[in-house]
Amino acid sequence: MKLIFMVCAIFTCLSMSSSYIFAASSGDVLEKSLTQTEEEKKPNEQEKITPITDQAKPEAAKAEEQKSVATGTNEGEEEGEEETVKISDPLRPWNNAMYHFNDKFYFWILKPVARGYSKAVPEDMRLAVSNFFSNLAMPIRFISNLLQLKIKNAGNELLRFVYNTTAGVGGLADAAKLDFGIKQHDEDLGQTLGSYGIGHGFYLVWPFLGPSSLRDTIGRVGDVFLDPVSYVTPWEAAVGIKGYDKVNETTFHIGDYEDLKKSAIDPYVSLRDAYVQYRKKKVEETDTPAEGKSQSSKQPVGQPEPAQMSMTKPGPDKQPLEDPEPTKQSDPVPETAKQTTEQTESAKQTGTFFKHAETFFKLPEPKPGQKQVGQKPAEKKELVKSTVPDNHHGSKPVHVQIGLFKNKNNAEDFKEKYKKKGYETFTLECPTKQPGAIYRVLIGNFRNKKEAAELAYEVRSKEKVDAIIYHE
Amino acid sequence: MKKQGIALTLIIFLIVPLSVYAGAPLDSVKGNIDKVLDVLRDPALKGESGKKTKKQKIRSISDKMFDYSELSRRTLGQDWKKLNPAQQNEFTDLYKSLLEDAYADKIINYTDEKVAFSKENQLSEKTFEVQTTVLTKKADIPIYYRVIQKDGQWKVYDVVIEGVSLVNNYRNQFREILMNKSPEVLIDTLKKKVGKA
Repeated sequence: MKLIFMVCAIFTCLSMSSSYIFAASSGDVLEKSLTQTEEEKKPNEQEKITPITDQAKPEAAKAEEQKSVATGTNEGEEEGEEETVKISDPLRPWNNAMYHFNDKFYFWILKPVARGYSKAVPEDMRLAVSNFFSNLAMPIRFISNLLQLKIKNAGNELLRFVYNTTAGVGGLADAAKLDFGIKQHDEDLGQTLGSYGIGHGFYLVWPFLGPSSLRDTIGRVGDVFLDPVSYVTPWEAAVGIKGYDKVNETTFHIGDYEDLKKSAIDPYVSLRDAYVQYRKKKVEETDTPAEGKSQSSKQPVGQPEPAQMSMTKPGPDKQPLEDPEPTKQSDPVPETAKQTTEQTESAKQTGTFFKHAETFFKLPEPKPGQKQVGQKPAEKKELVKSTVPDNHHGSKPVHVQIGLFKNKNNAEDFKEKYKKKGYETFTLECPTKQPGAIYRVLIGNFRNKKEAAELAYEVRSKEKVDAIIYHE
Repeated sequence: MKKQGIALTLIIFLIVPLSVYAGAPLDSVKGNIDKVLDVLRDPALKGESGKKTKKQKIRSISDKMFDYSELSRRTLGQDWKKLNPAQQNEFTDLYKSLLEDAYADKIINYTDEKVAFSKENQLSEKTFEVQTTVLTKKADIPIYYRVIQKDGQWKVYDVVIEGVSLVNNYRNQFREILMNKSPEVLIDTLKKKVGKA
């Protein structure tokens, strides 16, 4: 505990004593720790604080913590508190001026123009224009996905571009989404920088363009180079096209800014915070592969621990990867999971490769009927999965194995370690031909291999543990 | 025999709440939103006079759906203690009418949008996040409702629209005021905003 506070204090002091630019290079993590210990401090005081407060800071923070522990009852408060994301705003006078400039620009020029335009042009045509421009901006998303190593999403973007440009008549219709349900993966270079752990730096409002930050401005400059419209000559034409795009987009958002202003006590602060929260979400979305998400997030409650399995089900001796038939029955049982995986390493790599290749080119199945209809059964399935034990229909449950142990205690320790990380872990005792047994540490409880494979892939990449599929 | 009976009852008691628990936050939010959608789509409530009844009906639903005191407490966070109990009550009332004014008008204009309920995430022991998507022609807007269990009911204490948490957004605004000014000023500002000055 003490150590954490010391580290926090050192970080805060470092970031405060140096310029704001430095804060830009330190990640979101730092920003967060800053907000946690600095909650009480005014932002404009930050500059004045000298490293002398070094010693006092953790004390104060500790006292604060003890106070809140003592009051006890309001756990919810602390919970909400942690989430606060702040951004430093050293250029507030400039930002404020630009905010007011944009405000006037919106009400005096952009909104009237967009209104007139939307009266003249029917909604479907405006949607087509919007689709056209977003199809054109594919390179931004493609490169950003690639730079974040989101190979599948990048592949999808490429597919979408090809399909929408042809079947969607030059990108006027989002045919890929309608026909195959392949959605756009909104990524830009600002998000990419964010995904590398680079923080916002500071808040920055640009005339015409609106809220941004140091990081996102840098990203945006890069985006301009990736945007084909930028290469239209003469440059006046390029600006004109971008202006038209902006007017067209605005027609779909008339009223949004008005609502924000109406509901806000201080619209400037509200907009700044909304921007930071929105970008934070965008960046975090990139951290986990979208398809593994439903498993990675906390499981629905009420999932019964399949504890009874640890005694009853004698599993096959050893099960490398997805092979249903165990090949070598009576191998000497390896002591740790690491050893097992050495043997299956090559097999697994090819496995992962195939999974990649498969997902890269695979189109999701066309959705029957409306979107809503498509979404509901999925929801139900998940709920059912959480409440009903998995031994239905004679199909055996599939798990993800993250460890294999000869020693029961070691297995239990390993299980507890991952339980603390938020996984639904359990152990399974499997008899061997030799006296004794091996203990598998498993997570998840699925009906089919595909879901388990997704979780295994996710755990592998996230925890750097050798997770393989295991089914009884 | 008796022992077995006791064991059985125990097991039933252990299992039943669990199965009831699962899905309850989602169902509760869904129930309330369905009610709101019913009001919005009610063909009997058209025109200006219909709008007024619509607003009233939505307000009574939102009273049951939201936990405004929890919402207020979380919004102010640590600053909550700066307010005395009377001020806390006044703040809750004003904040509530601010939110109702701001969002009731917006909601009333929705008619043909569909809402899809995707799933629920457990945030803490008592809190869940119910994830929904509003499907519009232009885009799918993710709206998450954060709910807390109070007296056996699930009440919304935060709404997160496209990653922007309502509570966090207002917290930053209120905090800026409370940094330099007293809680009275905050309440006066709110009064002016709501039009009750």
